Amino acid sequence: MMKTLFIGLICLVCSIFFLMGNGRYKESILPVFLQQDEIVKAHETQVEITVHSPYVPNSFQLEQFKKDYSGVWAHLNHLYSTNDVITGKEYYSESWFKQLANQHTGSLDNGVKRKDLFHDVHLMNWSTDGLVCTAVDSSAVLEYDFPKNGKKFTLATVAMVFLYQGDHWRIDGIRFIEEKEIIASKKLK
Amino acid sequence: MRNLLFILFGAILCVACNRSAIPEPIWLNKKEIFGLSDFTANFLVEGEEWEGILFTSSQPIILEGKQVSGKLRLSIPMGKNLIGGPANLELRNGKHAFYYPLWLKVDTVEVKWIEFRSPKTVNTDSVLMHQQLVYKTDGIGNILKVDSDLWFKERSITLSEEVGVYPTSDDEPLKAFYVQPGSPTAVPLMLKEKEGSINNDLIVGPMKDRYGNLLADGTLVKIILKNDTKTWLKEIYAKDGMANMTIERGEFDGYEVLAMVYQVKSNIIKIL
Repeated sequence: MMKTLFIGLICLVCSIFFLMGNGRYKESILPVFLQQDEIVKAHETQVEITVHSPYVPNSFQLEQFKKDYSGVWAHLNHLYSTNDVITGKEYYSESWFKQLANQHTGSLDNGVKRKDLFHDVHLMNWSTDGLVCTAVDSSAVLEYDFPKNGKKFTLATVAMVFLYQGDHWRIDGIRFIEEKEIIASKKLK
Repeated sequence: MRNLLFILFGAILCVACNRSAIPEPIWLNKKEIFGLSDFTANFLVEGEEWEGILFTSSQPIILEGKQVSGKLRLSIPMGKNLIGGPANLELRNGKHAFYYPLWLKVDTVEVKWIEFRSPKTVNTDSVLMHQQLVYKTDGIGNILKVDSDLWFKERSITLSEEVGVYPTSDDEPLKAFYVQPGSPTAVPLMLKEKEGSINNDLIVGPMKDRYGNLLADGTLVKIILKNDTKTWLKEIYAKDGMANMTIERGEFDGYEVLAMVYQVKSNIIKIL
């Protein structure tokens, strides 16, 4: 009798531990800094940086900026074709995210695709505390893919402002100064 | 006979294709440049269920469309603001899509100055220089020129030596910066009889930095009491440039007392 009761109690304790562990596993979501950003990981571009700012950032800061600049474009491109404002929120400042969310009119699944192939970034200002920087991308080579209509390549000059918040540089403002078509498919002309 | 069948099949296929093809819409008010505030596009279209999407440089905007007897009018939904620059207008009808490149010119009147100061906190012991970064936006995210040929402005500013919290803009308290008092030039120390008590009060202060600002509240003041055999260290905190503690009668008789803030020492007093 005692043996049965003892075995029953052990089984009960084991099942409680098992259920607790199971429940915890299902609820686990990695914190933001441990999550892998698949869009940034899959993104490829070339970024050249020239520093013009009176306060010159160190090589570590420049490396981080280069990585995040590429990440910002990865998400801007994803946003361009899908209108998915949530995925890239780690690369948007609060005001930029707010305006994207305010202008949101619905998601797309087969929109125009944009790729950034090359950037020639001129750092114009860098705050001494390393939290604000402004840049002009004098030769952003962009590729637009229009479904069933072909491709178009352009050369753009873009002014941008970035804020360092959390673990990233985040875009806070943008201005396309000009954009010239380099080459385009016959159908798009 | 076989060739004839092929030709006939080809002809049927051709007719079928032509039937499903939709003629390209005619853009009635075609322009290369549109203002952000007045974008509307009118088209002559055939067929129903046309949809217009404007791929602005930041995100696509699904346009509001009104189609009346072959005329399609596309406009920005109410309350939506756009990021300017290159844009592509897409007209969709089922599987067919037509694209029109255009430029959205930033013409908004609203101007928002954004100012950043660095570093956030300045101590009067250090250099009172500040880096100011300024740029302008339309409140949506379009950067505007600061003056005729500059997108961003940077300058060094010499700050006032008066301690305080200085806001850079009224509606954004997080962008304020601070001037904190530095170390005191002198630490006055005196022993005074406590009113209505047999004990004494040890009074430190008033302590001011080189510009006359009172020492920051909460600054640690060390009181060192020493005789031939023992040394006592007591820690008290400054408030309104002053700090005080009670010395009980008989407790530290014959001790020498000294106050210290950072590396600045007071004169030495002997407790009798």
